[in-house]
Amino acid sequence: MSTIVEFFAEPFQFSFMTRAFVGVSLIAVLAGVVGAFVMLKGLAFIGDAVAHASFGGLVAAMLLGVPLHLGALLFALLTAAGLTVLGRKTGLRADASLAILFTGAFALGVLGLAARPNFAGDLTALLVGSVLAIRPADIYWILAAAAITGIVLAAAFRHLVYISFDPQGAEAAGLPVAGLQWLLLSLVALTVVVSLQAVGVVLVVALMITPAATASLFVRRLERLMTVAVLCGLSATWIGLYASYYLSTPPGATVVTVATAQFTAGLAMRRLLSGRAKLPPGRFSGTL
Amino acid sequence: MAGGDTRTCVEVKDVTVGYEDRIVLDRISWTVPAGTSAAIIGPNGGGKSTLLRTLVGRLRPMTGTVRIFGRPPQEARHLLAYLPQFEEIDWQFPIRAIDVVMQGLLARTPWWRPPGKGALDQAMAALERVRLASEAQRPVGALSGGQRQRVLLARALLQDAQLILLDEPATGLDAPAQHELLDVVDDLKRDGRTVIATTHDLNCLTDHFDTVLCLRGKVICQGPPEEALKPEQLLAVFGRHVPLVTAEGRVTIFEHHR
Repeated sequence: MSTIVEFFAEPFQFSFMTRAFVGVSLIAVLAGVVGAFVMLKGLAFIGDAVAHASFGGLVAAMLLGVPLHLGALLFALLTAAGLTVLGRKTGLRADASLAILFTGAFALGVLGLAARPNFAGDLTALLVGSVLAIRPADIYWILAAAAITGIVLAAAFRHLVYISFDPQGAEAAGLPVAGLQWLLLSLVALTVVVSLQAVGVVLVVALMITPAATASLFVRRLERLMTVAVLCGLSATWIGLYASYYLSTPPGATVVTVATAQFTAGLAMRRLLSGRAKLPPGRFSGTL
Repeated sequence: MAGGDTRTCVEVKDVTVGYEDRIVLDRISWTVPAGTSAAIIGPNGGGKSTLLRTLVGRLRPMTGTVRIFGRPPQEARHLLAYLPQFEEIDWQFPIRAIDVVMQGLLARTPWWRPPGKGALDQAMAALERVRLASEAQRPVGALSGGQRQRVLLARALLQDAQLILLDEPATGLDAPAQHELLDVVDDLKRDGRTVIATTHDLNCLTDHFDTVLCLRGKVICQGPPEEALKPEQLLAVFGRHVPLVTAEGRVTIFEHHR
């Protein structure tokens, strides 16, 4: 009995492991909620683009000596605004606007980096993340982002659902569709930026999309989808971090691998169940 | 707005509208009295959807004026509900029919105010009116095409929209579903609401719409269906002969147009 307790308690004797569990768990909650919208609206690539664009902001912040999160957040929000404006004003295809903006911002980052090559080590950490180097300040940032996201969703959840479901109907009825779209992209940007330190720009997208996609295999109501996505994200986090601790694997990648395994298992389970139980036709029903 | 006649719902005067490189509608004028229903017909590219987009304020006219209850469209949005073409809506979005109906409240309540106690009852009453109360808890994606349209009409009811615009509502519906939908449209009209629909399907017009507007880049003809839908005019609208018979004041057309 005590060995089981020891097994689960052992990582927590290290404060960096405790911070890793707390930080990534908070990210899993935040990413699960925001990720439900991202997955449903096919914004996965946008999340990725915002993450890359924020890299430019990170470099700019480093060079200017201001807090990194601020630079990243500014670039991410500007990218979100740019996407909203370009899409509506120029009729440019969304993927083209996206590619222009995020490669442009990323290139600025690379240019800035070239000016100060001695920062290269830190920036690599930000690209792939370093779960074990989460500082208390990072956790405060994540908490702040979660609070802001909570407030925004409390006020505008139904509006965001309306514009996601029927943007033209919403606009005709007088909802500020462009503003709400920017708000949604800003929540994505915020989630990405505060997750940078922990899981890096590359893996944060997985934490937004994969748990939500797994949840969408089984539930057909947005509120439940968010709940299940958060639970999937949390369990992937905890399983991943324990596995990483005992197997000495890279923690961020381990968490994402567990999340991917959950999705694969979900697909298989759906296929097994669909023979017997009546399951809702999900987004992935075409592939089953 | 000065001179706004409340008995006139839609007033389009000398309107030219189009996109960057081309004009779609050239100097059209059209009036729809409040509490009536109007059908907009015409070939693809004839400007039906463009006119609806102008009425909801998505497109601004290059010349002329559009008034909805005497106001510019941008100032009349709370009064109108727009049902876009079927494929413009994400029907797989995970929400229930009742959630969609409740969206009708968002247009007329401030964003910080949560739906009140009575809201759910009102939404259920609206669903009842479109004969879908039993489907309230089902995901919209699980409903048939006709049921989905009626859910959107229930949403328009909850919004208390006075002008309801439908873009190709009959597309993809079989005859019974079309009739159920048009029965609801008749019911809305009895409240004094104005209904405007674009359509390819000419057969339902005589029974359910008070007036017809035939568009092909400009107004070819307009008026009550039995006057407007003359063979020579339909030939001018669709560019080919449309077989039809007139009996006992009803016009029946023997072909669908795509």
